[in-house]
Amino acid sequence: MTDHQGPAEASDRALLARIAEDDRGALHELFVRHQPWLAARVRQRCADPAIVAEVVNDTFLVVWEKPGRYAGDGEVAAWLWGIAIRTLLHRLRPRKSVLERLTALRHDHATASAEEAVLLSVEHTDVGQALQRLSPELVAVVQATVIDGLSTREAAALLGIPSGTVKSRMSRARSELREALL
Amino acid sequence: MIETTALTKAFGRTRAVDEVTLSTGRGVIGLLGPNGAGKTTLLRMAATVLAPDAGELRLLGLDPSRAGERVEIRRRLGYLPQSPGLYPGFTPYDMVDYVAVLKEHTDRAWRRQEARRVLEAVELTDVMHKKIRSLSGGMRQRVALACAMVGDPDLLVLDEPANGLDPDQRLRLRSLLSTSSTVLMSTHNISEVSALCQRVYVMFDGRIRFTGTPADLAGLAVGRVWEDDRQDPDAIRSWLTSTGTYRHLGHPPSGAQVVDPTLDDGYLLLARKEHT
Amino acid sequence: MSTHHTAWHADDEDLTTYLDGGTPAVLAASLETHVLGCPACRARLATLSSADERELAWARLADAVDRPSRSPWIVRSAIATPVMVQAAAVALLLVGLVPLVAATAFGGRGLVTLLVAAPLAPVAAVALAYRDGSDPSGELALAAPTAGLRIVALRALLVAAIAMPVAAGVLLGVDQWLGDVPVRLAFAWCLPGLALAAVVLLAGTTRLDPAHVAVAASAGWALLVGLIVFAHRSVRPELFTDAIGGPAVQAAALAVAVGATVMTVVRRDAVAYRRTT
Repeated sequence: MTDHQGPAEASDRALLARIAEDDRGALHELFVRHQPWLAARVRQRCADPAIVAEVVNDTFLVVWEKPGRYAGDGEVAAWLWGIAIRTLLHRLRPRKSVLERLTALRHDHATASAEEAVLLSVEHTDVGQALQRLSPELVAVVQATVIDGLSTREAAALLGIPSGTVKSRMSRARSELREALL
Repeated sequence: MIETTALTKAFGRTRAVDEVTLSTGRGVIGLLGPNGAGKTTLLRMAATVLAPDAGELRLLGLDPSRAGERVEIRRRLGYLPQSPGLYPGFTPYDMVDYVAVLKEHTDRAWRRQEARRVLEAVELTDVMHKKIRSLSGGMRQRVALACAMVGDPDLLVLDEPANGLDPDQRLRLRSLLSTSSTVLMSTHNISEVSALCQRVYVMFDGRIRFTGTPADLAGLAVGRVWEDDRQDPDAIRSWLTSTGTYRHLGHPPSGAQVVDPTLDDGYLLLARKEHT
Repeated sequence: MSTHHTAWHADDEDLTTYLDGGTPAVLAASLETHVLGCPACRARLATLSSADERELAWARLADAVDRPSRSPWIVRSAIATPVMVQAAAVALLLVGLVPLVAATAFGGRGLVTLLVAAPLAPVAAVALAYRDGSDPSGELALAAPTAGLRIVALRALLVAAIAMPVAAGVLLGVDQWLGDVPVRLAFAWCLPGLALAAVVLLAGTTRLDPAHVAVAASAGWALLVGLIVFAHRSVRPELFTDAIGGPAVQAAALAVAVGATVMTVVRRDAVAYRRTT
């Protein structure tokens, strides 16, 4: 299949552009590139291999059917993860009404990105050391909200605890981290 | 696999196929001839889409004029028409699936596997979900070829299969066709015959004028080709070759430098006879 | 979520442990954040993970992507032809709109137009079903085992199933509008229409071009309606009710319809194995 291949490897964005033109070969290339880490990362959050396979599959189906959803900024990998973690959430929690999901969506961005900004501006190694001192349940909350970029509500659903608990644990984690880092 | 006796088909006063009698064995059989020689009409009869006016026709040992046997032939037949109609709004995958449905394949899982197999064979896997209207001419030809190959037919009738294919894909066509049991393909390109076919029929004005292997066709001109550095008015035909010498066809004068004939020489000699 | 490109990269041992699920949460989080922004580490992780599992996952995804259409083949083969859909739409417009406009504008004279046009719906349906251009895949489909009367009849039925109710609906609509069309008349054209359609269907088994026969049959019908008008010099609805809706015409139409259909079925072989062109 020599129709599209560039001299070197095509970028993820180029692959997405080709997927938008229904190029199945591009989907395969993107899949080969991203399926391993996506599956591994979902597996860290869900013990059931059947669900992991389903989530990864559904993630790439979204890519195939709606490649135009990629806004064109940021890493394609990060966009993929965004789809995967939300697919996982959707799979884990009971179905909500459209209205609820819409309002949840509106909250997503503000909450997630504020915390992202705080923590991701810090060097990794430092965060690693600081995180190491946190208790496991605080780490889980930090991971869900910061690393996975979930809203409070979504993190609560993923961890199976009330939203209030997520908030209180997050603020405890924040103050402990601040102490450790500053 | 294809047997005809005095097969005839006329359109108005023109006898497109004129008392053709032939019997092909297995393998890839080429039907060579100029445009308008009746190749397409013969192929359409071999594909059961056109009924002959007179003569006998047997395909895969069956008689297409009997309804039951005709359906049986069609089940085991793959056909590439001269101008295959492909729905522009379909994808290659849809198109092959549609043809599989027409060929009575009701099992969806089987159709999926088959669509993948034939599209893989013609190297269209990557674009199988693009709309046909966005594909190049060569790709469309390969889609049609894939449609003909659905169900791995015992008899493939292909009208100009190499049309629109680039040299690389023509080479692939050879290995593609070698796996089928019987292929009857038309062409007006002599080099395709030597590359693809085990046997060749040459057709002029509705009649078969030659039957044999490609080597036999070249053999027609043994001792009838010579080369010289100037034109020869006694030759049936003379032309300038790329090496700068003239190549002549006909009865060589004594002392002429007779050379080994090619397929082209044999064909040209046949064509010449036809017009005199 | 763009990350800083750090100087460090994950080593193979870390990645293998991570893949096995043995990495502590903190290190895992750190690894994940790095891998998300680092194509090189993603590629290495890919080489360390199971290729078989990836192949299996791809096969699953490919099955979802390569999904044959669910629609039954009848609808598929009939509807799948855009030319046919367009032509059917035009025929519908002619059958439905022209008489409606005429009836509204000219009253009784419109009724004549309607009577002329209504039976053309099934006739057009059959003629369309035979058209070569109706199926762009043309000879590709003709060489298939399913080719023949079955597919022609299915196509004709499909168009007729849409066209006939529309024609009937228009007639009933006119009835409401003008208030003087007997209901009997609104359906009087049905049998003649079917008879004409069956004749066109039968033509498909002969050397005649079904399209030509369709035109001839339609012209004949128009002539008949015209003759009635001419003979009585009037366009009163009762006139047509008696003439066309009468038992003689209806019985004759029924006989022709049944006869032609039976003949077609008997000669069905010829549909799939054409002697012309």
